[in-house]
Amino acid sequence: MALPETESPVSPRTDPPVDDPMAHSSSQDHRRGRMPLSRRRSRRREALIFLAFTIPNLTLIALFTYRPLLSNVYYSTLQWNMGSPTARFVGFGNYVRWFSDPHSWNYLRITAIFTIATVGGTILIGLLIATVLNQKLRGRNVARAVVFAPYVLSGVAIGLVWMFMFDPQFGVIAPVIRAFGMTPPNWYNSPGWALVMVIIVYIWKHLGYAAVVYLAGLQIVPRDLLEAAALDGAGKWRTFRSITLPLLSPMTFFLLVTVTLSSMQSFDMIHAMTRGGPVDGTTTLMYQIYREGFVTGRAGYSATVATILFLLLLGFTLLQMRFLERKVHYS
Amino acid sequence: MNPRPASLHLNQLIDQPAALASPEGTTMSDRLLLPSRTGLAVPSSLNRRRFLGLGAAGAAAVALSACSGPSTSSDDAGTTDETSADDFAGVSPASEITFWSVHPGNSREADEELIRRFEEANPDISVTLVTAGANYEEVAQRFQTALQGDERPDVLMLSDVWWFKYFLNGTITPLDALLEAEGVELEDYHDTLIGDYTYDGRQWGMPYARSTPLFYYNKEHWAAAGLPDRGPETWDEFDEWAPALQANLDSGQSVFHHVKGASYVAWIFQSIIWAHGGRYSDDEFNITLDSAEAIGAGDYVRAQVHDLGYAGVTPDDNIIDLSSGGISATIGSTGSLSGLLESASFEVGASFLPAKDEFGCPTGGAGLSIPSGITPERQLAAMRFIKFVTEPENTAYYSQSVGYMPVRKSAVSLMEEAYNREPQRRVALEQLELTSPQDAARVYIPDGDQILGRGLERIMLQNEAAADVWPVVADELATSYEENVEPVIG
Repeated sequence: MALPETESPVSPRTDPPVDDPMAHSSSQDHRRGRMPLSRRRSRRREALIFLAFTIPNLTLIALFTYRPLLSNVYYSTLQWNMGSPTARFVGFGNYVRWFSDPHSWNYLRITAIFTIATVGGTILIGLLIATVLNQKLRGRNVARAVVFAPYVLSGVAIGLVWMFMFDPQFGVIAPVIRAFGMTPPNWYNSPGWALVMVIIVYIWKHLGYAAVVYLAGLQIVPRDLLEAAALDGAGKWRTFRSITLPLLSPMTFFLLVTVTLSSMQSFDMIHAMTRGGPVDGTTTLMYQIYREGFVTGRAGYSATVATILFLLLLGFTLLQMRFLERKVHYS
Repeated sequence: MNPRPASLHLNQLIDQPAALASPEGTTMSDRLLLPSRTGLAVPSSLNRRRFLGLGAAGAAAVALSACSGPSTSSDDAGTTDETSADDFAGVSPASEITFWSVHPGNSREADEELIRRFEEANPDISVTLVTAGANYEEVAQRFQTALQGDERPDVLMLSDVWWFKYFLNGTITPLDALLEAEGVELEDYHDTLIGDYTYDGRQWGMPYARSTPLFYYNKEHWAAAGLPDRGPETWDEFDEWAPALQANLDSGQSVFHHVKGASYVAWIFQSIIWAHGGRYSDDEFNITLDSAEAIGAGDYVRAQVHDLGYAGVTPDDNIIDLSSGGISATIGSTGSLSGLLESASFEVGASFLPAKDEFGCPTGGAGLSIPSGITPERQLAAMRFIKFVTEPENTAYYSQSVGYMPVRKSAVSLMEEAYNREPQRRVALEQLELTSPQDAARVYIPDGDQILGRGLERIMLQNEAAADVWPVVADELATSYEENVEPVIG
């Protein structure tokens, strides 16, 4: 995405020097020595308040995020059947197997297609809808609510309803396509079209979220800038491209990260609609984790795929933060 | 321009999606720009690195103290839990048990009625019915999960392809001592149905919702095509009949629908591979998909769909396709019979499966097992319940209301009236005499059914040659065998 370099005088990456004695240990004692007693007391108080607020959260995160994460990494070194009281240590055996299994690359390919299509579609259509809903139109609030509604619905319910709509015999979509003189694709039985079907529904569910984020962004685009651009004779498209879009870059960046994360981890809709089929056509890495763990019962191998997905997500997020955040314009 | 200094950081955004998601009221900038200099500052004595270190150390400590995975101390997975008792003489049954069912074939009411009858006959034991999933996979997965906690059921519905996995894991208990304690007469159960749950000389489940595949057809379509009122005796005969049936259908409609992997295509195709003289595997777990017969059977269903063109693969549910008049015939479970007779607006025919070089028909469906690791009292009460629901009058009731086969020989005489009223029901029973036990590759190799199903999807949906698909399937089956079965029984 071509976003302009930041013009902000205060770049988020070049943090102002932090008042942090630990970072400059040589001068630390020197500085502390000069600190008045009252200030030290208030610092201690602040530290206590800080701990009181953070420790409950940290404990919960440790218990329910880090602990399962570490357990998962441990399980990934086992050959363990889910439910079995015993397991065998296999070291990196599961990883070797995943990387040498041709299915894995297919699942990775499907995950990539699904993620790119859903992230791209959600963000683009979300932006379009936000732009429309930002106009002063009648019934705008109702439209905003309607657009956002799918996001709060359960993925399973949405999946089931859309399956009715895609049904080649009884569904509402096939006659619409036929009305345009085209043959409706075999959504249920063609691996490729099944993936398209799931992508469409995923975008539909999530674009309200993207639209709301963009809408919030559009509301803080300063009117004077737009007016200035209009005075300078910039057209609507030019204004959008050169002013609105750059100002929306924090939202775009935020959406890229969050939608990528949720898309790569989406499960409920795929399970409700296709169960990873037909012929593995909609089996993403996330779905493979489920299938290996709960259908095949290879808990150790499933944990291996989960660890690989975790590392992928971590890598992506770091890359996005490293390379994209630089291009983000923070007002 | 917004005069405030920049402080919109990704971490804040991630932590506060709710702030973003509220466009009304407070403005974006108010919500997102966290105070950078005022308010709660991070104290200098606890910088970020130290803070992260603390967090990591805490996480590690918690992980170490609470890590409760499987034991890796011994290699002999699959030992039965110690709690399985051999002698139930001094044990009195528990007063409460839980029954996990998936109500196959819409049998919830039948399950409830059987429980009502049981509680009437055994006022000391109450039964809680749990709908533990929508299909056999879901109940098995839920049980798998329950094994990690202590929410085990007492009576568990496990399908033909699932119980062996729990035998391998040692999480279901052998029933022999319990059968003896409750005085269950095994001789009155149909031999194939009871034999399906026998392994290693012991009984691991009792037949409950048992079925065979049946050939179902639309009698109106049959009459319109001028066909005799019976199912085809052979697949060759059906190939000949198909054009006449096709002529009366709209374009795009198929005469016959196969099912997909999720609907157990490997179960139904088993009859076709047997009819061609092939098998998925022999009893010693040797995969025999490389035989000419197995390849011929695979290519036959591929040709039905892609060359002869009269057959298709159901988008979703082949029984609905048939009952709605969309297709003329399909193969489905006897468990679909009652629902089909009820929902179809035309007369439904049911017949034996078509033969090819020979006749082949497997049994299938689900039985009831008892988990290990629960108290002998609960196991005894569970067995009392299983004995009760498979008593002749009860299995006859269940069979009549759902369509599954009565599991007791002496139940047949109780069903004469139903058989006379709806003769389709008798077909399954007559066909039962000709059934064979299923191939080990499908029912004993964990995930075997789904591995075979995915291969069949490639053959039927992707028009791939069986000779290309079967070797891949055979490899996957062999791997699963080597990983899951061989270490335990090999």
